Amino acid sequence: MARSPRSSTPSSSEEVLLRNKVQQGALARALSTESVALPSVEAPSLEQLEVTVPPPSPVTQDAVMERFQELRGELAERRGREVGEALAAGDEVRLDIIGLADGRIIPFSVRDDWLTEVAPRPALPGLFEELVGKRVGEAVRIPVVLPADYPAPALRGVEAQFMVEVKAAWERTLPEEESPRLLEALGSGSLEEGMESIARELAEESVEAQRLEATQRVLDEVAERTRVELPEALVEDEIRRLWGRTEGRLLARRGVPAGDQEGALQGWLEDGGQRLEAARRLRIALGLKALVEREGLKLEEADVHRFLDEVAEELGMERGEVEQALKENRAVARAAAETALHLRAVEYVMERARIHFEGVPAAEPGEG
Amino acid sequence: MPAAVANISTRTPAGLGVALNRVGVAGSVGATAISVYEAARDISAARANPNQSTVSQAVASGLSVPRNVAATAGAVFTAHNARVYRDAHRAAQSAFRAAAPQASQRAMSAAARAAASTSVDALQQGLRTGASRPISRAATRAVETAVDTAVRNQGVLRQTMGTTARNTARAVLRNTADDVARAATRTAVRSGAGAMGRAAARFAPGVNVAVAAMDVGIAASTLANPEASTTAKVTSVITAAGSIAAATNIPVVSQVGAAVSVVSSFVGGLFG
Repeated sequence: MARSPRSSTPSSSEEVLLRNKVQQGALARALSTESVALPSVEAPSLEQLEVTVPPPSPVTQDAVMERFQELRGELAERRGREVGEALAAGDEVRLDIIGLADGRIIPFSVRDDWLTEVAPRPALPGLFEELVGKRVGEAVRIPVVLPADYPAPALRGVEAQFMVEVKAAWERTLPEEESPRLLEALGSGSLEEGMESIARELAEESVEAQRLEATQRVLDEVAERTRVELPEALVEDEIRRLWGRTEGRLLARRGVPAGDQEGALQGWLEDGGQRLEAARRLRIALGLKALVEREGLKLEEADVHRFLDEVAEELGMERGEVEQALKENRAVARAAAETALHLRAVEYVMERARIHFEGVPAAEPGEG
Repeated sequence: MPAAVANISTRTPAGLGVALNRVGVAGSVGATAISVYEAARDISAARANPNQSTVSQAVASGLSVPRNVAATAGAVFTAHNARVYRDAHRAAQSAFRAAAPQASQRAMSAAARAAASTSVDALQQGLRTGASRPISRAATRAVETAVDTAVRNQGVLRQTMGTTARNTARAVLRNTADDVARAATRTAVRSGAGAMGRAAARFAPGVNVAVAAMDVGIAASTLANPEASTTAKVTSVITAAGSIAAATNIPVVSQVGAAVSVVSSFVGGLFG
């Protein structure tokens, strides 16, 4: 088994503070920058790499209405509520939230600064209804009996407790359904045309989702063809570090006791889906790395510049500003270069895969 | 239920934490919240079903997928299992949609007509040029030309947005912190990438969160934080981009996704 050279994940002053704060326990291990032993693998074969993508679901009335209401929400007039002011149905709120059951944190139930609407959710009956009348600045406990069709079977019928902090809220006045402002945003002259416009947008997104699904399926095949026995410890290390980067960090910030943090991490480690995804992630990455080495794929400056242009645009910066930040932090620069190379490797694989979109007639050779 | 927890109020005095914080009582918000957290934990423990194992064990099987599909220790990875799990995850996420506020009958009818008239045809037209043959760069481009050139050209994070949001995103990023957070979360809500982006805006306790969704959430939160350093912002966007792009994620452990020697020399040359 080869051992990778030491590498660090990007760190920040906040991360250093967190590390100093928690010297032991789950989070300390999760934030570790120690390198790990990685299995070496042979590059997977790309011969007859072929996948079929099932047809997308048709656009539904519910989906069109949901998108329409989202757009109304975006265009709503907002008034920030004062500390101590009561919430009303339809408000937008910024919440910190943790869910508990059987005295333990429910895995994947921790969110910070979550922006959402005070509106009922069928899967969480009563949670948002109970927020009506609570006040900005309050921390409240809300019991919720999870429904019989809850997506996680073991939580069906369980009385969960949610700790919710209301950090900010905005009263919203939604535009009328046929207001000129809303119709203008939809690029249409009438409600009917507006709905058509949304439906077309949803259809375009479905096509994009099909393209992504094709990539997912090709990479699933790459993962399966990558012959490697992943040590359980490596899979768990991957999950632990992901937890540290996300939920663990939030729990530590809020001062949740170390023992409870450990329990939360355990929930992630025992989650079958999390394990499957971690194994898939590792297999794909190891397979692509072997391909990069076997095929001698090079990272060109243009690849990195294209990637950094995209990053800069997301940030509202110039590429030069991003490059300056990378020069000041080699770990981040390395992460950027690794991401660009990873994307190059995925592109290399996709160029060699055959994709069948179910229900779509085959194109004539040379068409397109 | 223990007497100690039976009478704990479900609320703390309005604004107590914020007010204390304003007068400089360090940690008071956290202290207030943690007492509510502890009450919630103790009450949930007191109400635990003795016939059920612990939460972490109980939800270890996660979604409604067979245990042999969701990985267990020593399970063999297959592409089929990965697909089954992904489908189950998508279905689960849809359960966490917010109910749409009351809409008029007119709007409902218009939405019904729009859904009926759109566009399995248009959708298939978009895919047709890339169907059933090798996806070369040219063929990929042909598909994209039909549907998503604009998406591709406008940045990786914005691939998760709807088209309406894209045009305004850059301007919004320069706005105030709350506006940025709102916009960033919305962009995930208006996902062009299906469950991945939407999951960033949905709260689904007990349901595994896709890495990309987590990273989008972190990026949104970091961009919204006026005290976040440029390095932190750059890092969060790079991470999110790595998670979203090409529908895969780079593992967290030691960034094993890249050939180390290739990257090391490159970083030295370009950024050294």
